Amino acid sequence: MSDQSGQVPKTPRKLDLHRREMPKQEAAVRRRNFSEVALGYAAETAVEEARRCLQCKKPSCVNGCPVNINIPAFIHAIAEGDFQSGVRTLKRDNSLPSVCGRVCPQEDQCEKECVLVKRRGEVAIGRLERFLGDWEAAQGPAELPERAQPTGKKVAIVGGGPAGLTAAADLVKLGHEVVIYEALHKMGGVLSYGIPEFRLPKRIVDREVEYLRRLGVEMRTDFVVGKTRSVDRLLETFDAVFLATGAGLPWFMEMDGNNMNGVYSANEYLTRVNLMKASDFPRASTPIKPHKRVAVLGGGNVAMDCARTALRLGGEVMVLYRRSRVEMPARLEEIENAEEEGVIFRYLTLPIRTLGDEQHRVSGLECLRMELGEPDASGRRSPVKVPNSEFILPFDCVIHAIGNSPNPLIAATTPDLSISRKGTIVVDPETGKSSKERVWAGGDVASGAATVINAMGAGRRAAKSIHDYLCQPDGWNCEK
Amino acid sequence: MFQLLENKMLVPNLNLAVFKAPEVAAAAQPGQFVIIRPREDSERIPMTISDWDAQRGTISVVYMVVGKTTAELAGLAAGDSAATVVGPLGNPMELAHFGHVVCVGGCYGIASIYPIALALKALDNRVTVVIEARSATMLYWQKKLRSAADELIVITRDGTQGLPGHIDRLPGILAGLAEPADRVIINGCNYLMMRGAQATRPLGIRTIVSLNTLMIDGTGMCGVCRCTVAGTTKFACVDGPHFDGHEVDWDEIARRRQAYLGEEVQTLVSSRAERMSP
Amino acid sequence: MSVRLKINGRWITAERGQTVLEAARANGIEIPTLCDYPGLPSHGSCRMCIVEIEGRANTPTACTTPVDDGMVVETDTAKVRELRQDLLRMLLAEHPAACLFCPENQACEECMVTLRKAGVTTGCHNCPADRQCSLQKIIEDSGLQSIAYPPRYRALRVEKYDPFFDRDYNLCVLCGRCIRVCESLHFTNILTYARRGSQTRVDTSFGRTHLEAGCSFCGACIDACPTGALWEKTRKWYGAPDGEVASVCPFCSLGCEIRLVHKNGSVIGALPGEGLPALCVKGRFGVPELVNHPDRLKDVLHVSAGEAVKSDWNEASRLAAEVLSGCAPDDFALIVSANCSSEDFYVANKFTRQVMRSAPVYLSAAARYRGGGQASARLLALSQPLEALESADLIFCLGLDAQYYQSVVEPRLRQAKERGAKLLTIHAGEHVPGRFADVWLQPQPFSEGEMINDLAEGRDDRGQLGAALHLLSEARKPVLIVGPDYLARLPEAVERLQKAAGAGLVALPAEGNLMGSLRAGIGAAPAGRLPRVLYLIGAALPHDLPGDSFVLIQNTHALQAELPHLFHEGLMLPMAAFSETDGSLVDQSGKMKCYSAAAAPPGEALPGWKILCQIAQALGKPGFDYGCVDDIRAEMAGQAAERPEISSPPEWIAAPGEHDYHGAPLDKWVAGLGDLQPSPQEEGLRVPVA
Repeated sequence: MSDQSGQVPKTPRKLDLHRREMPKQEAAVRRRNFSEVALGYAAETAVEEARRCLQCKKPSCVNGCPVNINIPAFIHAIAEGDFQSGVRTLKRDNSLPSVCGRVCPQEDQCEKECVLVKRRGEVAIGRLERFLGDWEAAQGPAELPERAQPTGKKVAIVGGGPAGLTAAADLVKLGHEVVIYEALHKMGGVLSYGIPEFRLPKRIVDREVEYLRRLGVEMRTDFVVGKTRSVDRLLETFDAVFLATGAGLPWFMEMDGNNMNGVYSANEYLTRVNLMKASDFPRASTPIKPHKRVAVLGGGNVAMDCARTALRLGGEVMVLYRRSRVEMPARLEEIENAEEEGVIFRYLTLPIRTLGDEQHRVSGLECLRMELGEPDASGRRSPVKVPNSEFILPFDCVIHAIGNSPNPLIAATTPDLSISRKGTIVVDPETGKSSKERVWAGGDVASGAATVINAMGAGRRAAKSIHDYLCQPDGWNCEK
Repeated sequence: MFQLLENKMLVPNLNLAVFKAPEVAAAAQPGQFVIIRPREDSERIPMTISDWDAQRGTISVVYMVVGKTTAELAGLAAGDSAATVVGPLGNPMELAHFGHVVCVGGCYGIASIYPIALALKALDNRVTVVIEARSATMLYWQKKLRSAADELIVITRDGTQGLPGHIDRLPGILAGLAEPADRVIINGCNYLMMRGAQATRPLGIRTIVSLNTLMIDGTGMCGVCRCTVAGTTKFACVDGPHFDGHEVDWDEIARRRQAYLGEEVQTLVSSRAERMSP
Repeated sequence: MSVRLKINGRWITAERGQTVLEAARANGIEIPTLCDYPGLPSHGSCRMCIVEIEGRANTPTACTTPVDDGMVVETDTAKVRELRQDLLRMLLAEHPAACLFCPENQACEECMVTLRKAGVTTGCHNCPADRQCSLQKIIEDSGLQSIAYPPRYRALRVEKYDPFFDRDYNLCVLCGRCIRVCESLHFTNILTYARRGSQTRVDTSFGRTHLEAGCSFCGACIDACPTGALWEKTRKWYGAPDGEVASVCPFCSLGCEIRLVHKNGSVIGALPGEGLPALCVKGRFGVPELVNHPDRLKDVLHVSAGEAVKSDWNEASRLAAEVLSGCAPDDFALIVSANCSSEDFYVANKFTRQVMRSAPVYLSAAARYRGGGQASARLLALSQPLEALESADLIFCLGLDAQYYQSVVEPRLRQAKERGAKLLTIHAGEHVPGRFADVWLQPQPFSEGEMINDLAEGRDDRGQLGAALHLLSEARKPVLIVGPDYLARLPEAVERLQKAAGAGLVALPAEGNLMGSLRAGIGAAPAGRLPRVLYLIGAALPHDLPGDSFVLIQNTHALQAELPHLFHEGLMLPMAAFSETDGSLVDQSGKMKCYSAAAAPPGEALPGWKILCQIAQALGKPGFDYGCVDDIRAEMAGQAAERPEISSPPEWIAAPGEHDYHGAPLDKWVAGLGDLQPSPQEEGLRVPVA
């Protein structure tokens, strides 16, 4: 970096529109291993990429970020080679940079707002964020921020996923006592059970969780709020409760044969592999079948995760999606990764029936051809069935990855909580306040299944609102 | 970590484990279950709570050693800890004043029917408990059950105690009751519940069974516990585990239960966990 | 002299001295038995074989009653049936058999298959012996409909602490077959009756584990058990097998005949071949764990820049051909394991000579014979089968330990001793037959060769050595039996002794098919530098591989999980194990033994020779289009056997251990073997894992 350690030119002589590529494992190699696909920027590349940033006076990228990270500031720090100060800037707004740098759909958020996007040279903000997060990890235990004076207030956070972890980090820094209740035996929520190792190595999640623990957050795993203890009982000992239980109830496509052996929800498939390490079976205890021909139903990021996981377990994998490629909700990067690795995509295809053998094991899918009609409310062209176009595809495994809704456990056991028709908890979008006194909610449980960063944004807003509430009238000594 | 206060064989192949789990004990209700992970690298498996003591903060489960994970649990000694004991999960058994309730238990169900019988008795029901086992040596908790029930009827397959035979004696037992049964509740292996439900169907007696399916999280997240009840798919962990036995698709239950048999045998052979169990 | 007797109304001829049971069986008349067992004298304890004999009071047991001329026997009268049922009722008072008479049994078993995995047997349904149990069959045949006496569950603790099999004496019917097999066929007494009266049960003396009691884990007691009381850990959960295939154990040079038991397309167990009393622990218990191990190589992998990428046979053969076609003869070496089949050896040899025109095939095991390979080869040429011990009046064991591995030798030594032969042994440490030998010479470690030389020259005639010399000089038919270690390390000394004593010789090399490799001319190899292209068939990776090496690894298992990182460029080719392919090997006495596939190879694995042929064909070489092993054997038969020769291989070839299978110690794949004893090869001789 010898010649790059100098000043960042205030006005670059010439626009550098060459977005620096991040090295990846070869598709042929990675399709058979669970190691991370993208390998991250080297320091030199990160600095080069950072120096492309125009440091806009009114940075529009910040508006694109659900947690409003001061993006130009951390990029400036990278460009100057001062990674430590970059980390500090980043972590003021985002406690999980290594995670977000990997799993955020930046192309639809900050990078979409970059002024260079029109000239197809948007700054790779996500990759730079990831670089800083990983750089910090490589320096040893993370630097702990200052904690405000203890307020004596206690907050219970229900769910150890992205929303809960973010809220916990914010609240603990503000001096409140925070306990996270997690139903599974491992913290992280969807980061642990859902997102595969090759996209988000579990050591990164573990490290972020450990960081929160060092910050003083108490974590109770194996604790199902709504079952082990109700929200009302929590309110007896806590001043506020934040519900961040995610969207954990899997949907199955409505058709015959869903209960045959070999049909999985995306949750089950991914949980077996990610949380229970079934890819190591029989060395790990939880099994997964080495299916030969796998159908993944759905076109979102979870569908891509399932498809690429099944591929790594040795199967031939086909994604069935009822619209066409452009309508697929998954990140383009993930679709491309899946394509490179050899996942087969079959568009405009609607499964209508699961076929089985005499022992009711999956043997195939009966499908219908679709064609695209008029755009629907979401602006996507809606698929229309082509009459008499039934055909059969042979499979021994079908994974339903068509979405999740919030788990009804809390709703069912918390009487005065207002629940929407879709099963989400109704909250004020600005504050995350629910209809119930002293109860906030955020993340997928309030928004329906969405992204990690949206959940983190909700966690942040709820934390702020909870803090405001806790510091209210009678003059508790809180720092604002 | 959840400490084991006791872990012993009750009768051949059925063990009693008592865990220190104050939160679970404080919340437990009859018919609920816990998910247990004996070791850090174990599978998560469901077990019905058979007794609890909120004061002492303990829960008891009676389990059959029938695979790697249960063998791992059996291999723990009193004083050791299990990695996970989470619950109470599932819906509690529906409890009310029904009149005369016949509670049927076999295998581990002899234990899990106990808190149900006790609670029904407390609600002024007449409670008849029927327990079934291969042989007199496989019977346990008879004293406890007798104290919880108005009448205890024993069936053994070899006739070594009580009536000889199997659950097929149930219609005869029901017919011979002084007061007709208003409800039957069956706990035990899927076969016992299936045959029990088949026996009561022609009699038109509402029959509740507590399904045991494969589970991972036990909170409705994975859906491996899917079963068909009255033609619709249910999740045994959150919609059940208690269902109307006359409406359950038993063949599907049996098939889904066996989905991983090959792998389960493979892991038993390769892990040798079984070796350390008593 | 023959006699004539009438059984069930049919006149038959029998030999005097035969029992009624033997005569009946010889004529196809079934009489149920429990305590009777082939090779054991009649016991008469279970009384299942009761019959009615005209003119005799009561109902004598057929197994203890000698035939007599004119005898009239009825085996299936109402009286006999009734009495037999009574006997069974009494047996069932202490055998958990509720399932037997349960009308629900069939349906319950179908619905609750998973119960098969139960840790403790409480009925036939979850018993490992279900559908394989003699008692179950006798009861079904007897027409018994119910039990009569209140069953008593003995509540004995199920013993699961031994490495290979579990013992549940709650199922034991006290037929004593295990005790008697151990005692009379194996001349050991690990098992005995413990306690008395109604408390009687089978156990080791003092209730020790089998390991502590000195059991060699030959498994004969399991084979003898008519119920589910004794059962292999690895086979316990599968239920009745689908079938058996005759095969040969490749784990040492004895090449014992075995029967591979298979279920659902996998090998789940190995039993001694027809007529063999037992196997050693490796053969009896090692096979299923080895061949079903999760570390089996299943995919064709292309290793490039230290990363393994899945490939296929076409691509791999093409790549191999590309590398090999540009490879000078002296830049190539092929190394094979001595566990491969003779057909593999033949094709490998043909491959190096005709395709590569390079130095002959190296045998990895030759590196174990650096102590004097040529002398070892000469000894092997003399080697006789174990039967040679039968006529010996003196047996001298040299570096043999038959405690666990090659334990089939022990009963032969005991037998010989019992008939009066003298038994000498030389071994530095505790071993079998140390304790029961007439003379146990215990040299200081590393001075064994000296001691054998002293014996050969009759130099020292004092003490134990003197006693040994005296016995040797008196023997008319001495036979030396040489264990794997001395055969490799001290062949010259052994050869001297053999000549001096004019003794017969039984050599027991460790390697399954060493003799086959020598016949193929593979043992001989001139020393050479480590070449650039290496083809390893079941052999470990050499140390210090140069950076530009290209390695073809053809093996059944991935020897080290991180193997691709140990070399830069190459191929990993999955090979079928012996149980998954047809083949043959040559045992320590030079006898060829054939085996057949009992299961399909996992994944894409292929027989070793087939892989070689594919590559040769990709190189456009003719003569490698064999359809099956018979084609290879036909070609082999037309060629003269080579003179056995073992020359010292180059230093870069790592010596395998004594108990290696395809380049790794067997106990790496078979968990229980590690419990037996720390292997002396544990350190030093292995390729280090990076």
